[in-house]
Amino acid sequence: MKKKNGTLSDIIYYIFVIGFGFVMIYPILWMIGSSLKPETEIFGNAASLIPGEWLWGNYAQGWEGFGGIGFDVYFRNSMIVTTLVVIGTVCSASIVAYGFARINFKFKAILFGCLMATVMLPVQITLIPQYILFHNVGWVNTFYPLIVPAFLGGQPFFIFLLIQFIRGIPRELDEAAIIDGCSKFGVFLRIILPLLKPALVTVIIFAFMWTWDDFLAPLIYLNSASLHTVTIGLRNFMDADAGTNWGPLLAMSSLSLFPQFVLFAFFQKYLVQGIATTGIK
Amino acid sequence: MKMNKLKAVVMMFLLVGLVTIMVACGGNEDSNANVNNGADNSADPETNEANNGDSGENNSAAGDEEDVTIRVAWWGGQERHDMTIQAIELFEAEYPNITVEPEYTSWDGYWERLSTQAAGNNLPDIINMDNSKLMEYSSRDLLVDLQPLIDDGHINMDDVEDVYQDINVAEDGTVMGISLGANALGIAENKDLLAEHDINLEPGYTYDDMIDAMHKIQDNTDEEFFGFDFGNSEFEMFFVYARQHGQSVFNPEGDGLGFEEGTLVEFFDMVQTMVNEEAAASHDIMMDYIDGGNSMLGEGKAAMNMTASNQIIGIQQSSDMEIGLNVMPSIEGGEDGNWIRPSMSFSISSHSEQHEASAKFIDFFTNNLEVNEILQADRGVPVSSVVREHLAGIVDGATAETFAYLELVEDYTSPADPLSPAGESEVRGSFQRVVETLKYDQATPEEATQQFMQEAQAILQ
Amino acid sequence: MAKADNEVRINQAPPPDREILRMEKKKALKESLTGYAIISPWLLGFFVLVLGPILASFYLSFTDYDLLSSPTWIGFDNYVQILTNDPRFKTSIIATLVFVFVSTPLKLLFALALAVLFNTGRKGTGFFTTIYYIPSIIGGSVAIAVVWRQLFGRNGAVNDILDSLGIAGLNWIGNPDTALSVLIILVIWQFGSPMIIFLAGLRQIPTELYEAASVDGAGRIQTFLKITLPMLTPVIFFNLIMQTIGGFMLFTQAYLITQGGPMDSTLFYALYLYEMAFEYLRMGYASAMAWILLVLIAIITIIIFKTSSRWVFYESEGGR
Repeated sequence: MKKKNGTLSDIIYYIFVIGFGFVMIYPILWMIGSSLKPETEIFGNAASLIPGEWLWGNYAQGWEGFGGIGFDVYFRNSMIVTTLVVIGTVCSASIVAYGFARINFKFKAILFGCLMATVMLPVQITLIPQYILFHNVGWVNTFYPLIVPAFLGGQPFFIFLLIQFIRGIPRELDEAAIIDGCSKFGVFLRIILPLLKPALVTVIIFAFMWTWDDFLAPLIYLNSASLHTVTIGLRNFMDADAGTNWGPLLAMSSLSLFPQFVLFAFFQKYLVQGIATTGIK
Repeated sequence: MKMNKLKAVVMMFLLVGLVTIMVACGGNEDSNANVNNGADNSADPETNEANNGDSGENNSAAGDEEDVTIRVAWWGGQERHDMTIQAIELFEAEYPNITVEPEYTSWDGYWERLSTQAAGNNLPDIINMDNSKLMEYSSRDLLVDLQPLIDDGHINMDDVEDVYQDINVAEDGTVMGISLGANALGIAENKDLLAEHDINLEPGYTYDDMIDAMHKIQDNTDEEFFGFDFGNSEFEMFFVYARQHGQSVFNPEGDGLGFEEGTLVEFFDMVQTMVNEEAAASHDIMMDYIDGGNSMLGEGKAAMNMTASNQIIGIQQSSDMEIGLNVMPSIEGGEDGNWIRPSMSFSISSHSEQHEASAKFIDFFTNNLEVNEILQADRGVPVSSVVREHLAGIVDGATAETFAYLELVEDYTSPADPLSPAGESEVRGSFQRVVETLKYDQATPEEATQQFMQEAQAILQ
Repeated sequence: MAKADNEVRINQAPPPDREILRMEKKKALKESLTGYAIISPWLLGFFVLVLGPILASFYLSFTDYDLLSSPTWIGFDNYVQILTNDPRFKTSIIATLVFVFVSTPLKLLFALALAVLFNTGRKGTGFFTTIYYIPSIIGGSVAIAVVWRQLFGRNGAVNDILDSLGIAGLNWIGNPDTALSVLIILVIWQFGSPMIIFLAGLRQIPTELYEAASVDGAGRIQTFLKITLPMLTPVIFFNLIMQTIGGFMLFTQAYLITQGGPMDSTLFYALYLYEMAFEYLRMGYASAMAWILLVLIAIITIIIFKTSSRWVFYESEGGR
């Protein structure tokens, strides 16, 4: 496939990818650069990516957080919630997607319709009834309202995503396994899951991103400061009344990108391997 | 490969188990989660007592000896959070049997959470209320009448003058909240800039004087200068403007508007002319500064800024120039439009079962000198005269300026309007949208007035 | 057991035999039960956690509900008011439709093009993928507002560049004519999410297909059109549906950057709905808005689903 005499096309490729890549990442570089600037320089000397004087004070001040509860606590809370949500989503969404993609059961079309409909209703609307529900169970001010739904199918987005990927897997593979004596669940574990690896990686990345960035649900369910997540911590720097502390806000925002960055950097190899080395074994 | 499959199966079982445990133990797990994750303030084992306020049954008759927990909610930024929590620690040291669970956020999100909690019957014991929302909550019976608690001595109001408390008292005598600090609308001015251009606006100056001053600076400077900064507070400004005409934005019954059409047309005309003639910053520039968290005034790009008095503390912190406070401009032959706003009250929610402990908390914040030293009058000038006098000797800089301003403004004050009716936020939204069309020159003052009055009346009906 | 069933179906042409009909039925029932068992986590979640709140919101859409006191039944008033007497509803629908129909195709195009480009197996692809994905990470963070203002604000980087070209810049976010475009650019900039779904899709295409094609002497473009594109259609379909729905739901970015302004030029539907629900405490009205949105999105989704049989290719279903 790849032509060896493509040096010219390689050069064009790299020039394009690097140039466009810089445009893509410029805002992020600006944010990180600014997080190292003193407050007056952030906007006064905005055009420069590199701080006039390097200042780590924003990080120290931001890390302290509010009233004795700092970002160490927020990061730990976010980590707990996000990790559990990712695990729950991967396990439950994959099996449910398998059911929808491969097994014929009664009312499947209707249930699939329900699944899709839940994506089409804005979360802001179901938030209050759901809050009342969780309050009655006594789960307000705990992580459960954020975590448990992930184990029960999680976001329909992921189920639908995995359904699409499973439908791309040839059925002959299932049938062969069934002839070998596999149960339906066995087919899922032995045939579907291994082939679903790239899709599962995207699920991990997205579930992590969305949970990590979620603001509304943590805001409403987590009252105690000791349970706050990073997003709430960040939002606490902004107050229309008392003024926004931009330096610490940008510093902690930069820091909050880090876990996602590491996660993606680790998992991207499952998405971008050389063509010759992957595919169906 | 085989290893992986085995692992996957084991993982799956583990997770199913985990969910089962969570579901099974959910009901009483919440307080444990707190202990596990919040080592800081849950060290006290009594925390599980009333974590959600719904297990308070057994301590509803809380005597002095019994241990109780109260939840306190407020909004603010980093410094205010730190100061308030420090104050709470002092309170807990004074009353070892009362544990305080702080629930703080920024203004953004505070009301969303509070209304959700209201819907779920789960409001904190003590809530930080804003003047504009007081009626909304009170009219739904979500706030406890504090009068009985004042009467039986739990909250000492002896040192609080009426002017600092009137607004929190409903017509039927219900005390809806107790103010944490007072401020007043005013004009923050860049003293250096005004002095440089030899401008001196003594209290009693008119809107025209102000506009002329802006033009004068504009004509004599080579630097970027935007004039007056409305500070996105045109609605508040109109409150004053209407009062100066002997009118009010809302009628006393709260079911309609209380001003004449001509007054608003005049006001809108002034706003639009100021923007068009560059005596005031255009809307996009104003929002650019606000959203960016910068102050036009502090940077010397504006000479005067419509604001609430306690906000100059923040402006001064980020500016090298000297910032001062002046009363609102007046109208020749008009009435006094300023008023003292005992803003940011503490109220006790009707979901609370710890009225006495909550009352003690409010009393502590109102009267304790040490606590108020910690709080630095950041929410406004303290309402107790004793505390105020004590602090006046300690504070300096912009904070001292706010103290002085509240004394000054008293001479230009008329009695406060009744609290805004429940639909205020929606009316404010409508006003701000209409002002935007004006400032972008997309509507005449007459059209804007028509539109606003129609929308507002529909909302208030 | 399963094996026997299979043989019955495959080997015997169906004679209308009672016995076989009964077995078929039994088999269908068994398969149904297996199906329910397998999707049971979702069923449980749906019926316990999701359905209740959805029905509640449907009920609330027929009430006057301010969150602070009990809802009161008002019939169809909310719906009538929204559809006949709410100019801001129209404003928000138009802004949303423009946004969805401009941003979604462009975002997908970028995502697909870059995914295909990154799939050529050149050195350093992993690094570049990460770079291109980073903008998506920052998506919902509060910092996005200040970062974006720095770019498109009065003294922002975009104006700096225009200045150096001798073009007078303007306040892109504060200008009612350009604010919407700024948000569209922001969302397109975050094409990393659909891009990695495309990459995952490309990963799943069996290599044998490419080998067969190269044996047949197919060129690059031909391979792309004959193999890559058709095999990728289920994922394209997914991205199209979800990005469209996501476009209708767009909230955070607009909430953080423009709050709907200036002059309602970026008043997206979800933003208006949120304003109604949480700022003006008109939850009943907002619920009705949500259900109108649901119908609108459902119609568009169903249309896309209907067309899918013409262009989406499923390997497992043996083609179209």
